[in-house]
Amino acid sequence: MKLSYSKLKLALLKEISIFPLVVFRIAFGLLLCFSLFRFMYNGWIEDCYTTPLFHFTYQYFNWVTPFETSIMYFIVSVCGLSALFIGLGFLYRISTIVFFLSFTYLELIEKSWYLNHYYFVSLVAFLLICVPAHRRFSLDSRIKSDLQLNTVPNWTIVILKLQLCCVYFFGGIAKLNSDWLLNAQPLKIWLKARVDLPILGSLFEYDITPYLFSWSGMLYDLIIPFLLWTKKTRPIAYVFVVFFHVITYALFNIGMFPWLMIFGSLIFITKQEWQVINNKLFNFQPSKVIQFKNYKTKGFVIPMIIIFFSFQFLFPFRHHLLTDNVFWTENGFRFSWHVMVMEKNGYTEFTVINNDTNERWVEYPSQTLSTIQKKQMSFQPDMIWQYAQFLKEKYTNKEVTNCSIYVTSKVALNGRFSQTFINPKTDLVSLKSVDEIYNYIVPLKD
Amino acid sequence: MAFTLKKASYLFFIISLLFIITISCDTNGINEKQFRTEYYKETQLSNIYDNEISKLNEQLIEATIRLNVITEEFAQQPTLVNLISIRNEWTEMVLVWKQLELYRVGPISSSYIYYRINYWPTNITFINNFIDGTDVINESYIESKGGSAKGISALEYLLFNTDAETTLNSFTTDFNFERRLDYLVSLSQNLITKTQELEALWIAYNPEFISATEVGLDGSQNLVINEMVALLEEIKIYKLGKALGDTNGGAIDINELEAYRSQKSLEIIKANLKSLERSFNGDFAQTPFRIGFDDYLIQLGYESLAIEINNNFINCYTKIDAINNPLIIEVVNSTQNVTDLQTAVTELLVLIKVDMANAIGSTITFNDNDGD
Repeated sequence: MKLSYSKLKLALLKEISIFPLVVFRIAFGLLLCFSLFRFMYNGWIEDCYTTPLFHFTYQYFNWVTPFETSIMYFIVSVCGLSALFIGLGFLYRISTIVFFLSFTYLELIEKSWYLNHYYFVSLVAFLLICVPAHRRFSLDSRIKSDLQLNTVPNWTIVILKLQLCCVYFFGGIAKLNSDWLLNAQPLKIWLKARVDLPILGSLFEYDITPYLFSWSGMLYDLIIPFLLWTKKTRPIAYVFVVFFHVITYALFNIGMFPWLMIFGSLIFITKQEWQVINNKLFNFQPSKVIQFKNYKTKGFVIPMIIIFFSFQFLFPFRHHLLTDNVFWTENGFRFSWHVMVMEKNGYTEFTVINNDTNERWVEYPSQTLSTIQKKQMSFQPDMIWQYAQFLKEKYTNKEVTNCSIYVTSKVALNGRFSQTFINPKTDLVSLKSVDEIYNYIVPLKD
Repeated sequence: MAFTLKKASYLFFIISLLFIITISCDTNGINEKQFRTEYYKETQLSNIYDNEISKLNEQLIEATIRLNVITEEFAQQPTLVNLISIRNEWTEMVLVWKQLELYRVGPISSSYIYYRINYWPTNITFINNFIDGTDVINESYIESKGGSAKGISALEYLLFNTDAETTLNSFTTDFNFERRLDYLVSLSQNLITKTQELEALWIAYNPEFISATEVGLDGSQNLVINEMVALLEEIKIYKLGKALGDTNGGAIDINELEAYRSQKSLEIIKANLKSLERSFNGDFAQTPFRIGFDDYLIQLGYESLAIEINNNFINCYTKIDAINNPLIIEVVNSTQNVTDLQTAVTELLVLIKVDMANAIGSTITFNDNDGD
C-alpha cells in the first residue's frame, strides 16, 4: 500500500512541460469569457435571475439569492472579465478565485437552469486556482519574469485530465440502461425530429440509425478517456472528440458544452505533439526561458487530490443508494454527469385547500414561473416540493394558515405515454423536508 | 495499427470536409425522402393558411361588414327586430373569430391586434365614461382607445347587457342614448378596420409562415403547437376555471365566464375546440392534402397517440353535449358537468403539451436552454 502511494506520488510529482496547462488555461479562459458575455447578450440575466418571482434554490444553498438587475450585470461582467484574465494569464490567482466564486454563485441561484457543463466549469475553475497555469505565455510571467516555468509537476495536468474524464466516463455509465441501449431512446425521438438536416438527415429515417447512435455514443463516452490518455491513440481520439462534438452541436440545442469538451480535451496533447503540429503548420519557435527553480508541491496536495477525486468517483453513483430509477425520480440525478440521456416532459397544477373553511384554489405554475422553471419543475420532485412551499408561504401571507397543497402531475419519459408522477393524495405541506417527496413518486410503468 | 498524427490529420480534414458539405448543403441538394419531408411540412403549413386562416379571415371580414350594415340600419331604425338581428350577426361573427383565435403566431401575436379585436373582460367603466363624456364619438375616437373598451367584447356589453327591451331603451330613450348608439356604430366600423388589418398582416406573413419548416423554436409547426397548448390552457384556466372558482377559493362566479352576457360561452369553447381539432388533423376543407399533426405523429411511429388525442377531442364534445343549458346557468346548477368538461380539456391539454411534445422531441423543438 505504502509502495503504491509512493509510486503514485512519484508519478504525480514528475516534472513535465507546462505547455498543455498553458494551452488549457488560454482555451478555457477565452471560451468562458465568450460564454458569459453571450449569456448577457441573450438576455438570460433577466430570464434566469431577475424576472422570476421565485427561485428554485439548491438544498443547503437557500441563502444564495440574486441581486437587482444592474448588480447582476456587474457580477456577470466581472465573471466574464476574470475568465478573460485567466486566458491572458493576468492577475491569475485572483482571477481564478474571482471566477470560481462568481461563476459558482451564478450557478447556485437557480436550479431550473442546472447544466452539467456549468458544474464542470465550477470544478475546473476550482482546480485552476490550485495550479500554476500562468507561469508561461501569460501577462503575469511577462511582468514578473522570474515566475516563468518550463516544467510543472505532472499532477497539475493530471487533475484536469481526470476531471474531464469524469464527464465522459460517468456520461457513458449513465447510458448503460435499457431505454438507451435496447430502445434507442431518447435518440429515436431526437433524430426523427432532424430528418430535415441535409445529407445526414436521410440516415435518420432508418430504424437502425438511433441504435447505432446510441451504442456508439455510449462506447465513445466510455472509451474516449482511455484513448485520449494513451499516446498511440491520442491523435485519432482527438479527431473523434472534434467529430463527435461538432455533430452533437449540429444536431441538438446543446450550447457551449461541445466547445468546452473540444477545447478542454486539448489538455491531453503533449508538448511534443504540439511541436509536431507547430512544425507542420506554423513553424513558430518559442524561446525557452531560464527556469530558476522548479515549482514546489506542498505536502498536503497529493492527499487532497486523492480525497477530491475519491469524491468525484463516488458521488455520481449515489443515486444507486437513493432510487431504483434515477431518470424517473431524478433523486441523485444532478452532479452525476447524466448528459443528454432522456426526453422528459411534464404537466403540473396545484390545489390549495384551506382546512379551516374548505375553500379551494387551483394554482397554475405558468402564472408565476418562467417557461424554463415551469418545464423543469414539472418533472423534478424536489422542485415540485419547493414550489408547494412557495405556495404555502403565499397563502400564509393571505392569512390561510392551515392549508393542504396537492399536486396533479403527469410526466412522459422517453416516448412513453404520460403517467401520474406524484401521488395526487399527498399533502405536500405535510412533507417536512424535500427528501420526503421521493417516497410519494408513483412508480414508472413501462 | 498505430494511428500517427499524419493519418489522424488526414482523417480529420476528410471528416471536416464531409461535415462542412453536410451543413452547408442547400435544399437543392436534398434527397427524395428529405424533399418529401420538406414538402410534407410545407403542405401542412400551406394547408393551415390556405384552407383555414385565409378562409376564416375572409369570413370574419364579411361577418363584420354584415354586422356593421345591420348596426347602421339599427341606428336609423332602432327597433327590437333590428336589435335581435344585430345580436344574431354578432353571434355568427364571434363564432368565426373563435376559430381564428388559435393562430396568434409570429407578427400576428406581436402586433397585439388580437387585443384590439377581442379583449375580455371588457372594461364597462371605461365604456360608460366614454359614452357619458363630451368627445365626438366616431371610428377615429374608437381607434384611439385601448382594447378593453372596444372590439367584440365591448359590442357584446352594449348589445347583451340586459334583456332585449331594456337594451333597446338604452339606445332609444335612456340618458345619452344617442352617444351610446354612436359608440355601437363606431365599434362595428372599427371592427371591420381591425379584421382587415389582421388579414393584411397574415397576407404579409404568409410566405414566411409557410416556409418556416425548421424544427427550431421559430419553426411554424412549433408556433402552432405552442398556440394549441396556449389556447387549451386558456380554456381550462380562464374560460372555465375562473368561473368554477379556481382562483377565489371555490366560489362560483358567472361574471368570470367569457361572453356570459350573450350566453355564448359554451359555443365559444366548442368553436375553439373545433379549430384545434381541425388544426391537429389538418382537416380543413375538401382538399386532397389533409395533412395535420396526426399524420406527423403517425410518421414518427406514434399512431396510438394520434388516436388517443382524437378520442380526447370526442370526449370533450361529449362533455359539452352533456351541458344542456348555457354555461352561465349550468355552472351554477350543474357544476359537476362543467367540472367534467374542464377535466376533459385538461386531459387533452396533457396529451398535446406533454405526450405530443415528448414524441416530437421537446429538447429540440421547444426548449430554449443552453446545453445538456
